[in-house]
Amino acid sequence: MARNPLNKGQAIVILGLILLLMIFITIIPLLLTVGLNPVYSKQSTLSYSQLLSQKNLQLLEIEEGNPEITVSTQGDAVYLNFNYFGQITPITIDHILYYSNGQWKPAYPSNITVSGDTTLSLYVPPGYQGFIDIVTDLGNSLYLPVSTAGGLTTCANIYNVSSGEVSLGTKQLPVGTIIITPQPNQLPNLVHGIDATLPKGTIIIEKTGRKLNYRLDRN
Amino acid sequence: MLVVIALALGIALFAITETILVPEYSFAAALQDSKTIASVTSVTVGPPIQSGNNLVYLAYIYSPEYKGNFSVVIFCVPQTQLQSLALLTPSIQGNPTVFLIGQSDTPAKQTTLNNVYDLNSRQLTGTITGFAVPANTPFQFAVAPPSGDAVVMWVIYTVGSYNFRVAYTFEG
Repeated sequence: MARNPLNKGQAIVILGLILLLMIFITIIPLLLTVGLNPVYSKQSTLSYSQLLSQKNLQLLEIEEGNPEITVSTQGDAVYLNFNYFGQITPITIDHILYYSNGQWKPAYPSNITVSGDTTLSLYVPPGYQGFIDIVTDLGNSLYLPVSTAGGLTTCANIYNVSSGEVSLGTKQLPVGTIIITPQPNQLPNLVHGIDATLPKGTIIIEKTGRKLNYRLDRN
Repeated sequence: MLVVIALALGIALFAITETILVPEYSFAAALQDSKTIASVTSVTVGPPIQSGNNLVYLAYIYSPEYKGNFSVVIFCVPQTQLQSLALLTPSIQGNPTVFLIGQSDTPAKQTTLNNVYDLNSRQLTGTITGFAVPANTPFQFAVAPPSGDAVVMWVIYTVGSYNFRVAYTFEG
């Protein structure tokens, strides 16, 4: 049988096609992997930075006492208290744990969202004295020994003059002056034309850091 | 003749793809996956509490949207070596025990990890033993470090047959 001249050279074409196919099979995934990876990493970095700032913000809020988290005891019972002083930022607690005999155990059966002043009764042995661990939904972990506060402990005996209306005798106390009373809560919180008697032992510090020369102990 | 050559070339290319390129791709893909996980994962280890000879630590791996398990490897190193923490590999394991915390404390399952890599695709170790712990769930580990030693914890993420160290921390 005579060879059809059209069949000549077909093998080379087939070889070329196979080679092309191989090249596509290997090169295209390579390009895709190399080309797409930076995009993925950028996306994850972006979402992470937002997540991280949210996480840090939550910790900052707790440190500022918003809410103030305290562990208190009443008799043998142990309570976890959340107290808000200013604007309410809800906080979700995923896990509350206590430590007993070499084991950390759950002190509260479920997760809880706190969005106001809250007191939780904890499932701990009576008279528990150790640590309470709180894990928030953003992964912040707080260790609180019983009868302590997390973050800010309020200093209720320090008063800040925030407007120029405070006067002491004939002297006007400028903004930024600090008044420290010997005991907490001895002055009204907000003074607007209220006459308050400074208790004995009160210290007044000017904005410059200088102690005011007033004979307060005369009182 | 040409057909035979074409076939031979095809087979050779296929072999190269299978032995070199496919593992490279899957390693690169696994590495990328681990980097994504690593960028959103953080580890918290609490203060140690003495319990007999052991120190008990409470730890927590935070990784939002990840529901699977991580493996943790816990080992002790002399505190003087902590400067090169990223390069330290387990030599003393200090017999760690890991417990998951729930209504009843259950020991974590031991896992065997072959060839752990870091996120720069550098191989850290050969075969080591780890413990499987779920993400976003507190767990505790007890370890008895020799005096003057710090406790190091690795968090290992497994993709397919590859193990990557996505986070590490130390305490003490």
